[in-house]
Amino acid sequence: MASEKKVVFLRSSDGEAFEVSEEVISAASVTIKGMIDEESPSRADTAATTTLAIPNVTAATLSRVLHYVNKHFDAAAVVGRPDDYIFCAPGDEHPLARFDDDFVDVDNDTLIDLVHAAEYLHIKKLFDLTCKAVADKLKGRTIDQIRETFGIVNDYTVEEEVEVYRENSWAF
Amino acid sequence: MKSDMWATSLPCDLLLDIFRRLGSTAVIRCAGVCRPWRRAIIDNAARCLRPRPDCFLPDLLLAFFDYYCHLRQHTTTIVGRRPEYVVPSAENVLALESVVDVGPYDRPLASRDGFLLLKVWDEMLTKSLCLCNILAGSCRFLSIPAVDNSSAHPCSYVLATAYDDDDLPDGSSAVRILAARGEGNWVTYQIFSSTSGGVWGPVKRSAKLVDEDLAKVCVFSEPRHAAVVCGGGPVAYWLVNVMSFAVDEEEEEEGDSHVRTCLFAMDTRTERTWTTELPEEYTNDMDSAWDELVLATSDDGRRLSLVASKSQGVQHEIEVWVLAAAGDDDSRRWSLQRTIDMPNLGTPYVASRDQFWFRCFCPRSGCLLANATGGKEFLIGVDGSSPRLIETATDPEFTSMLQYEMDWSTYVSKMKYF
Repeated sequence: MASEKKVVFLRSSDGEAFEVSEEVISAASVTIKGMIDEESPSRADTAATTTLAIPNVTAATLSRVLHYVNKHFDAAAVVGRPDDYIFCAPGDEHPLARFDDDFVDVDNDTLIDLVHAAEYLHIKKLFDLTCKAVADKLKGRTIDQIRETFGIVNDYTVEEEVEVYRENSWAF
Repeated sequence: MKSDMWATSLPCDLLLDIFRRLGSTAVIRCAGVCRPWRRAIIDNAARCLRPRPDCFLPDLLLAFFDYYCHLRQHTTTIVGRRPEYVVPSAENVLALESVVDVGPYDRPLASRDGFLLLKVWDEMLTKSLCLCNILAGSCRFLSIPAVDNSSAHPCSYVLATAYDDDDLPDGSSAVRILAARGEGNWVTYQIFSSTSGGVWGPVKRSAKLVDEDLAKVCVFSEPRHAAVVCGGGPVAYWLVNVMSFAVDEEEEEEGDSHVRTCLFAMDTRTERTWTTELPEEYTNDMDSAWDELVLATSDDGRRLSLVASKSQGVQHEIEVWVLAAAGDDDSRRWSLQRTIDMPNLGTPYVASRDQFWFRCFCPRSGCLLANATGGKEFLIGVDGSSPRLIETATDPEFTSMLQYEMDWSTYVSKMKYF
């Protein structure tokens, strides 16, 4: 019976549990779908809800990820194709473009946490979105600006630095 | 603080996933940011540059040298756009970080290490040269050298950059431009150096190329026969035809003419010039032992190669000759490095009936770009790699192509590792 919406709980690395629809998270995250499928035989007879430990993702990040997942699932449901999570054809105006832009308009540390989480949870669309957001921060910046933006310490010696500039003089 | 996590704790695969979404320029810059990034990029040159089955990345090529006219789409005014230029798809155009208006530009004369030399004219049809670094977004206009004053004697231009010349300051955008053309029994030339006043030097004349008084020197000036620069000197080499006339003493008239192909070389620093003979079978233009000759350089840019294509009936062969040392005497020290039998490469390369011809040589990757019938394009590594078919990104009908930065993954994987 599909009448009763199953939910699962995801427990973040710092112990906070988040409720999410099983249907939504299964469609979004390959990793969690795998976990649920593994659990299925044992939970078929019990009514107990499942709690899955997500040890690599903090509560702050997990909450953001679930916000993203729910938003995208709802948008997909509106057009009546809930299974087609990535429903936007290339070239189409993405109905969630603005949401996505705002979603990744965060500080660098938050962004890289999202990249890690998307990779671990295997949420392709989110992984693409966050990688692209990082790439956009790299584009059009000089080496010094990139270091400054990401707080990277220059670990080259003076000689190596000269070599870097020599080989890339055309790129500056 | 997590500040250093960007440099140290990102797994390589994750970094590559990010770099893959960048253009070549940004990837090269990222390689300069810190050691972990640099290692990830150099080790995975083929993967961190946009994925293509053959790692061929034509974006710079298109933007710089061949389809430079397409850059016009970035400008607001399109001046004198020629109908034959096809507007490329967006992914084939270099993502320019600064827009250079190349609208009124005529045609590229030479290119090297990111610099492009164009001949341009303004509304008054006054011609000048434009030395342009599209990535840096800089343009510098120069006067046409006095030596380039005759359409009957086309002038061949060569660029030498700080990469070639240890005398030029490191990392500088200093360049030398050599303009040369045949005149009578000589090559006349002029040198522009951006470090010494930024003006053209005086017109000079080389030593006589042949002893006979009546001779006519013609410098190969078509793009595919472009002159090359060998590092270490740096020495510029041009292919030249020398037409000499046997004078009939009694009649005092010009008798039979004889055309010979040889190399004209110039040390770009000392301006010493000399000629070098080609391997014997290639010296005589009339024998047609070859279809086409092009100059190339070795992987490290130190040695000069001569690449010849020969076809007899359905046999197509490419021979790669190497000049034993960057010598300056007249003796023939060529050795045949390899022979490539084109039909035997099998499909999908060249069928036995296919014609093929050279397009241009890329000094940075050491590859020759060649074409076969049907618009097939393939790369031939002059130093040894097998020819491989590449994804055609250019209009096969469009044949004016220059040397360019062809193969980015090769370039990146050759960067120093530290």
